[in-house]
Amino acid sequence: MGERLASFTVDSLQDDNIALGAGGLEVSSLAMLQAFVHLEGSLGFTFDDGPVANAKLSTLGDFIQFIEQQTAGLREGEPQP
Amino acid sequence: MNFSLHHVARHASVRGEGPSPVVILLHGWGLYHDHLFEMTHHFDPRLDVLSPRAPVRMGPGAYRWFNFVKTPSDGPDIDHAEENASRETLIRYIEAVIADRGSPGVWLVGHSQGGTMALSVCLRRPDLVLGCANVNGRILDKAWDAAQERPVLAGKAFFNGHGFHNPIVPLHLGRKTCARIRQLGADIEVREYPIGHEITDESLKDVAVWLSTQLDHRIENTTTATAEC
Repeated sequence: MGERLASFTVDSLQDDNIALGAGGLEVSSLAMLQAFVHLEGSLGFTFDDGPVANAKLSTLGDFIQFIEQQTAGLREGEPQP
Repeated sequence: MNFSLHHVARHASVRGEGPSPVVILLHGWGLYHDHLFEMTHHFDPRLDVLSPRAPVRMGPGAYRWFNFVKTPSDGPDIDHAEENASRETLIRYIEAVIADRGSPGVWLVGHSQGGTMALSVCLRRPDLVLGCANVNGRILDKAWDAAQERPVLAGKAFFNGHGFHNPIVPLHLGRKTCARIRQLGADIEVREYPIGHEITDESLKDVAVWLSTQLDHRIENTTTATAEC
């Protein structure tokens, strides 16, 4: 059962169109905040308040795209803000 | 001037003699300075508007004055050590604003735990405050109990707005807060709305109108006092 559940979870995360909230991953706003804090810790990056607070993140794809945009400087080796 | 809290500001566009009156907006849990500042257009153009960010960072765009745990009926169970530290930081911030602007005091407007913080400052340091509007916050029992010598709030103006359906700070705690403010001799305008814990355009507009009226009263009183001299 555990493997099937893990497989289902991984499969869900392959779908960029899956909703983050109701009817999809059911991620609460607090869980989203925890995800940002986790990313800050693992990337050594601090997100600005405004872009995160105003981001329209409906789907997993929106979230991934937003993170990629915000951390673009990191990938290009630019100094952090 | 170094301030103990990061803030954003809008300067008064209509200026009279002397320093412009200052209103400080205090946001609620899990938000940041832009939440109330985005609604600054509601406020009187005679006001300098400052919106500080709460000191405890939860994550990007999310700050708090103090942590809490929800309880079924009697309001949140709060982290008093964090509340105490944030209140002292806020008092230092207000002192710095007053010194910087040369104001006789500030007006406080707070939503949720921002309102609770504003009321805590009123109890602890009423000398810093001209008046206070609270929407969906409350006077904490510990803050009330800690005010050994009851501060005199006579002559200060208060506005208290509360949601009938507030699931975080139940209505009876809002009414208890109003009773305590009256007990300390202050004038208070009370509004109850068919809302929950949020701050709405309607409630913020009511606060803005109330604040404009208070400014008018102060100008009238100053004019009368000058004429009598």
